[in-house]
Amino acid sequence: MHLLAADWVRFGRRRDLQILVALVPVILAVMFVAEFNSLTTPPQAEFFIDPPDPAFEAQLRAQMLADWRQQMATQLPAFAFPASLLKVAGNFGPVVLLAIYLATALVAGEFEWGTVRTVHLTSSRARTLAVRVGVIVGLIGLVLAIGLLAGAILPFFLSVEGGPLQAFAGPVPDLLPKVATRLLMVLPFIAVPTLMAVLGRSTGFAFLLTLLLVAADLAITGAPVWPASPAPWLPALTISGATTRLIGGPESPLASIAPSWVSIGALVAWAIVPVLAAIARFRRLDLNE
Amino acid sequence: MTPTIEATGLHKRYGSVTALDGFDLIVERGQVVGLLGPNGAGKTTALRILVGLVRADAGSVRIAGEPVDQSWVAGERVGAMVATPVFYPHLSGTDNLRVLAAAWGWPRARADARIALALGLVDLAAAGGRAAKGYSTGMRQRLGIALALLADPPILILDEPVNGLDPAGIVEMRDLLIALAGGGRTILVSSHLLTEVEKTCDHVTIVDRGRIVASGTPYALSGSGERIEVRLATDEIPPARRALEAAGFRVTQPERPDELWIEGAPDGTTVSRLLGSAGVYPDELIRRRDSLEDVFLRLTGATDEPSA
Repeated sequence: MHLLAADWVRFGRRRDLQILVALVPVILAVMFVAEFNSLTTPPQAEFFIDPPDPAFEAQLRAQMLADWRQQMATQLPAFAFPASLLKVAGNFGPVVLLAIYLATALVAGEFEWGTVRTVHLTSSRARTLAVRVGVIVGLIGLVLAIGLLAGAILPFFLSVEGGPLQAFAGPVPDLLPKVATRLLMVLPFIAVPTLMAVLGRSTGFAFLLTLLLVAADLAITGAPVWPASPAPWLPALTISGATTRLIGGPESPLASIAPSWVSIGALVAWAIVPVLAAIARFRRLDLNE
Repeated sequence: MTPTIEATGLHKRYGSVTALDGFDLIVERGQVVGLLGPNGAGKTTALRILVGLVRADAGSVRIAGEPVDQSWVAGERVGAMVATPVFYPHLSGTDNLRVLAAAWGWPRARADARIALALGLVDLAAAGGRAAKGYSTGMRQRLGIALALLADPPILILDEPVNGLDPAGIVEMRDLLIALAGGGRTILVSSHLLTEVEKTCDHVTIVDRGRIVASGTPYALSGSGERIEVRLATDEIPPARRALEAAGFRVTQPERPDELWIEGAPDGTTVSRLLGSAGVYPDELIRRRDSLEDVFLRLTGATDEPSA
């Protein structure tokens, strides 16, 4: 508890953190509304028919609008509450980037400033790093909570062709486990950069290294060699593969090679093992900063 | 009695460089020990190991009887400033101290009182509210010492505490260290200012090439170089030398041809009588002790101004 209080003094007044933590939920809300607008704006198209045929053009236009309405009818329920929560939580990009930035900046920053020496004097290294990871998880949790709040409120202020969006609302089976799974998917993007920060001792280096690892993870998952290899299940164990498997559910292409519990286990391992490795490394590190 | 700080057989290598090579140190409770040594002698590495920042390749450290290992935490018992003071640049001096107070779980009132006291001790009370990134080198040094003093610890380990301070600041810091020592604290301080160490510390330890080469009170260390210097006419040097050596004293001749250095003589009167009985009368007779600087230069072989 005391270390949390110390971290509050350390980071509570950092303007960059304040701005980022406030900005990312706004970005999530803007993405939600932009996606909704893109779906609900009637399609515009110019037809060039030679020789001009107004009747055929009207037929084409009517067909296009019918397709659009059908598409809306399929997709709009995902924007209505409570499915909107999944929509917001599914917009990973900004949250993942924030998680990587926070983990690298708040851990590697101590090495860059040399303040890791002061940190070392106040409490055990293992406890200090564990609390720091907890603070980052808390900040990301706060960002997601604000984003989810926006996702819960916004549908009530949106309308489609004069009618309320909520008219499309329907039940979402297993909503809470699905939201929780999406939150779980962010944790590896805190754990891995934390380890990189301890190894690299530089925010920029750790950030870059994490992005490279994410790229490698995506490349491994997407490589076409696995089905014919002795380890066809391997893509289900990567961060991106496990995430794809869990979001896609039974329809995921990885569903046939790995049950969902394997992917959940993989994500939990990705969320815990790097942190344990970072703590073990940090405990043995010579602090020559 | 258990020594407050005890380092035994410390070895530390950085690649091919040996920083410590069998470093032993004992600091008893209440002692103020100055650590002296030329650049690269291993002082800062030793201090880093003492507070657990760096792990020794071999050897052991105990502080107040507790082994300094991976689980050891300095906490409120040991105030340390090792190498350049470091701070969170976006925080004020006061808030940098408040981070530690919060980590120790101090109530607000205690934190406020101790922070005000520590900043006052280092003459930073007026600048405490300013962001640390705007501090001058001297102010950063003072804030580093305030950080070390915050918990009023019984053990202080300070690396170059007067670095970056102006002459008035050095005098203030010396007075502060003397006052702190008067409170019964155990203080280990490294410094490149020999005169400051001489005035502040009751024990001096000289480090060279990762080992302790001398240790004792400043008086005892410089006393090892006590001698009587006489200046004579050049043709009187041989008979004077014969008379003094016959009395069992060690006589050497420095570079000057008209000077003799006599070691082992009880006092100047004895030397005068001996020279008079040999028909030699010196122009000048001086009883001299080596300064700490002389001892330092002799032991470390340093030719430049010694530094940490």
